[in-house]
Amino acid sequence: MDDNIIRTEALVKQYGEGETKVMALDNVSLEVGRGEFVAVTGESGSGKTTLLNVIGSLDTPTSGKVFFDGREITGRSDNELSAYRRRSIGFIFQSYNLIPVLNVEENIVLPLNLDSTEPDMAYLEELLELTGLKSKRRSYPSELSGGQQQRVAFARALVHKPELILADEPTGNLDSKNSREIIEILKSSIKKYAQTLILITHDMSIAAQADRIFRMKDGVLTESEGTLR
Amino acid sequence: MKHLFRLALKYVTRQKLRTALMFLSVTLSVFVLNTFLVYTSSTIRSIRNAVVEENGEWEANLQGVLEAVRAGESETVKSPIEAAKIISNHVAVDKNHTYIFDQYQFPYEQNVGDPVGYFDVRLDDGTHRVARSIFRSSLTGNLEMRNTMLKNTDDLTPDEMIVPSWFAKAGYEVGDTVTMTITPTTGMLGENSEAMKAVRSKLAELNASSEEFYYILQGDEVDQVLRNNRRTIKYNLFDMLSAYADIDEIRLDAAETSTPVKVTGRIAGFESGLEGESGTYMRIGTALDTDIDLSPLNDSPIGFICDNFGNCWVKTNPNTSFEYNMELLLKDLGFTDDDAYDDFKFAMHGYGMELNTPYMLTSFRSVEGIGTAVPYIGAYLVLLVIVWLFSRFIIDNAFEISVQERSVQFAALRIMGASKGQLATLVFTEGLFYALTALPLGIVSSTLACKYFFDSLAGVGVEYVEFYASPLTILICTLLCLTGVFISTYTSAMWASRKLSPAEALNYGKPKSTKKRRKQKKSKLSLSSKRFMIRYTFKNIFRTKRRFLISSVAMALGVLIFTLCIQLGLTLYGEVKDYIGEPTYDFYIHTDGADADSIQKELMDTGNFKSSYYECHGSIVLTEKELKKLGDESAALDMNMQGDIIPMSIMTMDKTRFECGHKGLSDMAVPYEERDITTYSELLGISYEEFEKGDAVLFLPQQRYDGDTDFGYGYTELSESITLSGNQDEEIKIRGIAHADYSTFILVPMSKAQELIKYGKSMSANMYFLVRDAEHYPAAKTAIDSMNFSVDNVYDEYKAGTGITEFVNTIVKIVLTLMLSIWLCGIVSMMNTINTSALNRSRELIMMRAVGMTRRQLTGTVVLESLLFSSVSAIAGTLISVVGYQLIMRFILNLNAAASGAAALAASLVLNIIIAFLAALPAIRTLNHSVSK
Repeated sequence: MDDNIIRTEALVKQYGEGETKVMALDNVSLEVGRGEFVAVTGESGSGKTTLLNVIGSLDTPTSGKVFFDGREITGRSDNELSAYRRRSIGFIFQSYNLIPVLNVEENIVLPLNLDSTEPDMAYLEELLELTGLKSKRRSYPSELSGGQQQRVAFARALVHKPELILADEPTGNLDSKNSREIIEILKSSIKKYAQTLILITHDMSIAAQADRIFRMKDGVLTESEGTLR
Repeated sequence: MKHLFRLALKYVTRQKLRTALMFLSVTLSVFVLNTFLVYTSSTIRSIRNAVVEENGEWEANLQGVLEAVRAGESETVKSPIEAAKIISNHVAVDKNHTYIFDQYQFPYEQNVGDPVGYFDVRLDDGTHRVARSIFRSSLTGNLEMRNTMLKNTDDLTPDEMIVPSWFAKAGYEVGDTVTMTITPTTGMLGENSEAMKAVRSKLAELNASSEEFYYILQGDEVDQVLRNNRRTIKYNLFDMLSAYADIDEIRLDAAETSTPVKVTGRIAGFESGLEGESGTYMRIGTALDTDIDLSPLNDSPIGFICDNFGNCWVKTNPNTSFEYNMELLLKDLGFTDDDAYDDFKFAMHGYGMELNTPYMLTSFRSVEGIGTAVPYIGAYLVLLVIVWLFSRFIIDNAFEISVQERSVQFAALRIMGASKGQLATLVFTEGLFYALTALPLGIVSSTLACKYFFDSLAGVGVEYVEFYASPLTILICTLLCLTGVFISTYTSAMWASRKLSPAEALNYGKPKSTKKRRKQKKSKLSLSSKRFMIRYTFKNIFRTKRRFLISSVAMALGVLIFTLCIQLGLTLYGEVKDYIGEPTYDFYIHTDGADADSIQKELMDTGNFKSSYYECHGSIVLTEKELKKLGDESAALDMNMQGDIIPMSIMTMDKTRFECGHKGLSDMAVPYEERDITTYSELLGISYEEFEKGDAVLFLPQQRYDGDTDFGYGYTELSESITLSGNQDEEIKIRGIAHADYSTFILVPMSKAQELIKYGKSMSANMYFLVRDAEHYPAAKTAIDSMNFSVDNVYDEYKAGTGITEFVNTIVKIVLTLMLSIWLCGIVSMMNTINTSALNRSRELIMMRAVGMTRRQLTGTVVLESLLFSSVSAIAGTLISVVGYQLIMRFILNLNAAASGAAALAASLVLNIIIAFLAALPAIRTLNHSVSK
């Protein structure tokens, strides 16, 4: 068992060639320890989302390696990567991407259904309690507010107790109150279950709550000074 | 505006899959619609060809007008002949398709006491004949004359005429001027008249009862006679006289004559064929504007016997309307009343006008024709509307999807300041692109396909069939398709620009808030991935009920047509497969027995025919005395008849016929169960050469007429030939007697039959020709059409003979093309729907990939949705087609509805499963591509 839950080595992601070449990731090497809360900031188009996608195996790097818990995941088959995502990763997106034909609790247990895993009903109740969705468990996404939908997405990301949570601007569509609440829920969850959180945000007040802050600029990742590590 | 056009074309060129589906949708829809219209146009033309062949190419029969002229109703024209001249030269008339025909005849006599009438015709050299009827006809377009005349009669001058061949026998030649003196005569044929005595004498000589004579004359007995198949019995007194007396020399008691009518004309040719010799009627052919006038015969005081038809069939000038032509013509014929045409049309004053409505309908010449076909036109229009709606639906569905897919983009354009009109223009421009590209392609491809099929049908001998795509048809199709395309683009454009607000468009596809709270059902949380995917797929289908229903209906229609065609095809194949195999003949010619050998030689020498055979038929009348020579064998004859004479058939045949099998032929000479295997040669046990050397064989039924005695099946050679004499003194020697089934006839060696023909025995020939192969068929047909003999009938059965495989193949191709094009429409519609359904959910599907859905699971949900669509379509379409098939078989075709549905069902299901996978492919490819981004 590696102390670092995620380790990347010289990750490069290049789009296009010649004059149209874009380096979304330029030799990114990163180590994230277990239980850490890492924030990644940067301007639009700096490569933040690309980094998250590569770590989450949604995208393949042009070169470089990604290790999860000491095991290399780059170059694995699609089925292996799908399993990796089902069991080890929890994704939270800016747009909630809920399934409109499923109700709240059905949306939450979606990753478990895909894995043919029996849901832990006690944990599900806990999640519903934590997110304040108990009374809405059988409601459909169209009957929820934006904040409630994001909480459903959040619960969905946690239901399988992933070791790593990847959040891409989770509060981008929320007001400040909801944003604060979501971050608090996230922090308490990762503390309780020793989960690692890598979060992309433009909100410096949220980034300031992280254990480490990284800055992405033109595909280059640098760690900001004054962070814990 | 320029930028909008450019943007529209960018959408077309960059969204390759969408453009391909749109293009295919429009092309297929136009293909289906234009096929329907061009088939209609060609079918109407083919029907018109049949109508013209069967009934002539005329529009109105002006007999009533001529009668009105004769009756003095015209203000300016005094005689029918003058009227005929005006008609024949009138600008409103198509001279090439107008002919005049008048007939004068004495009716058949049925009872002994009825008067007898005839026309006594004397030529200026003293040659004298008697005719029961005379008719004169201008020949152009005249069906009655067309097949019997040798020379082209279009060039006859007003003083020329075509006369019966007995003029030639009297010594006249072409170019001679001859005067006929025609005297209507009527009188009584008394019991003691010379004619009656001659008849009785002849019958007595033949040992026939004179009572026979009276039986024949009574109408009921004529029917009885018909049932006993006594072919030589005459149906009327005149024919009886013709058979047993010298008809030209009969003298009537209390004879009355009327003023002879002298008719002079120059001989331009002689009528040939079997009817040229007949004395019971006389036919004269003339030019349309002839001077040869028989109408004075109408002035005969022997009024009650003379019938005058006075037909005048006209086809009017095609450059103006029929009604206008009629009004003009009638005015010039002296009927100046404005309502003259209506008066004649409705026979207001006792003089009517017959219209050839089938021709006028199929030629779209006037409302008269169209009026009679209103129910059919109504039914056709309903069908057309259905086909148009079907094609419109396909286009509509494709456009709707295309626009809705880009709703967010259109919303963005609106947010950026594009007006509603600009958005509509954008969508219209795309519609214009498809109208200018897919529409012409659909029209051209379907027109060419129709041409190929109709030409193929004509090429295998299907009569009257002609491909015809009138400019009007193409115009109608173009307008209908353009209307469909623009209605679709208009509704889509209006939706994009007016109905969808920018804000709403930005959220299009996302869950909408609804005022009505959905019913909260119990959650299903403990699902395996497989069960989850199935449940998710079903939920998505029900979410898009409308689109699911519409696409399923479109595809079900294709399945219905496909399985219906398979079932009908299999059934019909079962009906005809016994006839597919070695054909027995392609052309059948019925002609004079005297010409058969020469015709056979002429046609076989062309090299277009593989083989031929013929048989000749005649008759002989035998008396009781002759029959007694047969001894006990005569008991096989049906003696339950009136009188004591029996007519019997004479038959002869060539070597091929004698030695070939009977398979496929209706031949009563051999027991049914042995018809496929027994030849005449096998039955008689001798070769054709041996048969030719000997005498005739008498064929009698196997059993007595009352069923008492069974003579068995087989042949017995007589120790000594029996000579039978007929009523015309013909002698036939019988070498043996064969018993087979029901027939009674004498099979005569060809050489002996030719002798009989040479000495005046009339025999007709049935000739059969097999075409060498498909390539030789056109030349074979030409050879028959242009042979140097005049024949009674020619039947082209190539499509059921050598050409049957081609014929069946052509029909199959036609049906398959129609089936496939309709089915493809359904498939494209389903592809559109599946593709859109998947793309509309692309975000959630990508999300599911992000949370761990495998590629296989993604493919599975799309394929499952596609399978569900196609299964519903397959099941619904197949069920309806099975029911429809039963209805068609039982109530329309009146055939046993064979259970050929199993093959159709299996084929349908297999094909639909394949289609489901194919329809899902574009969506899967697109989604996988999107996920990787």
